Amino acid sequence: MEEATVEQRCIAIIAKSKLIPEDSVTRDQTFDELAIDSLDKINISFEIEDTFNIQIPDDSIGSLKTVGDIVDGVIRLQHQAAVQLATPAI
Amino acid sequence: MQIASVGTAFPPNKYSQSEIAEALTARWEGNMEEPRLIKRFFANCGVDTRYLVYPLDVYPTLRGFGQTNTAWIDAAVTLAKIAIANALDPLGLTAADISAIFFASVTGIASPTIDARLINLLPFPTHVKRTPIFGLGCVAGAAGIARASDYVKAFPNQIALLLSVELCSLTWQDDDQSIANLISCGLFGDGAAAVVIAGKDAVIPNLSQPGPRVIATQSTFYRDTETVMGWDIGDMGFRIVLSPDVPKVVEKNLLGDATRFLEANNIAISDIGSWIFHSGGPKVLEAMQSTLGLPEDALALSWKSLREVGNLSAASVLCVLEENLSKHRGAPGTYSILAAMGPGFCSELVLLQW
Repeated sequence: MEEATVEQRCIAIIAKSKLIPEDSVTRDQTFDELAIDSLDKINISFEIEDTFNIQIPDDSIGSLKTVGDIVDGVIRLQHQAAVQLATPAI
Repeated sequence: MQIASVGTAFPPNKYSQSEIAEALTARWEGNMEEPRLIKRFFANCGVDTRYLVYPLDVYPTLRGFGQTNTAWIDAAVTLAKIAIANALDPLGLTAADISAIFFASVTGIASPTIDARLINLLPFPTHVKRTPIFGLGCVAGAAGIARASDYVKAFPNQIALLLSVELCSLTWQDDDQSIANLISCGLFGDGAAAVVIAGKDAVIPNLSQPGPRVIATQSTFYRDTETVMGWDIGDMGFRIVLSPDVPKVVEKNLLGDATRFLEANNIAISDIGSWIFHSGGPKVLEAMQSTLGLPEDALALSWKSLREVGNLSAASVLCVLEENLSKHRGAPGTYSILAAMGPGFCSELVLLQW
């Protein structure tokens, strides 16, 4: 998936969770700036998992500080999943 | 006056955070819209392991306030005896050398209090002065040191004992899937700590090196914040009240309180060599660190305690103090701040000099 599309879909999930317009969310914003607390982040992580069909490590949520961290994390997890799929079982 | 030693004690049942999360998920998944929340939330509490007074499968069998409080009394006495021995034995002291005992807990109640039951089991003097403290919550570790220090300041040839036993797992509510109870189940553990606080003229037989002296203390009450933290007490026991505003109260007040306190003692924040803070949780520790402008590793021992045993309410800051005394003593003459916050909402700051 294109990085711009991942970013757009992540922003849509975040905006929906906080009931705010999508155009008020940008990649460089911190979760503190968006009034997103740790519980919000966990709920957003479930939406992200379901949307992108990825598995976010349980203990990684605390290290996510910005919208960009989520976008980068999704791209990384998608890449890892693609590599695993392309690697033949031994 | 000086803090001569700290002894701690933990119950025998040690669990990883994931083991507790799995047990709770099995218990609650039918009642939750999103049961995955438990495991993920627990993984981000800053806690790796906790000690619990009972094996995990026993908790669902405990019913009502009476049963859990009876369990609290039995276990509190057992753990207290171990913590007291761990504090007194290395100094060559016995309970007979203690003139005053301050007992702090917020996770159970008893009358006669736990300290009274201990006097019947250990050789405390007949005329020992007892001050049981209930309700201060997490701040009681720091406040207990402050009040015990006040006592030995008045009676400089005497020795006081501060004892805290917190069995937080007995307050978990099995029928409550609220976020506050989820935080309680994810963050809090069980443990006890005893602190020996000696007047400046008190005789301690086996004191290998002097402990930090209590130079000054400051209690601060934050008016109109009583809904931030506490208990709703009902038939099922103690149901936690925990507002998301706790870190905000820290951010709003701690820097000003610490600055005024230190200025009154002609010391700057930059003069403080170490910070001995209550391990309240990730958000509270982050708020303490950022509002005081502390370096990344300044609260490392508080984070370590949180990881290893969870939040032990009043006993937490005493566990961090024990780690400082046993492995991270300050250089002679350097200062430390010991601090905690708790229901009221309120704070207690204790200035120590090594």
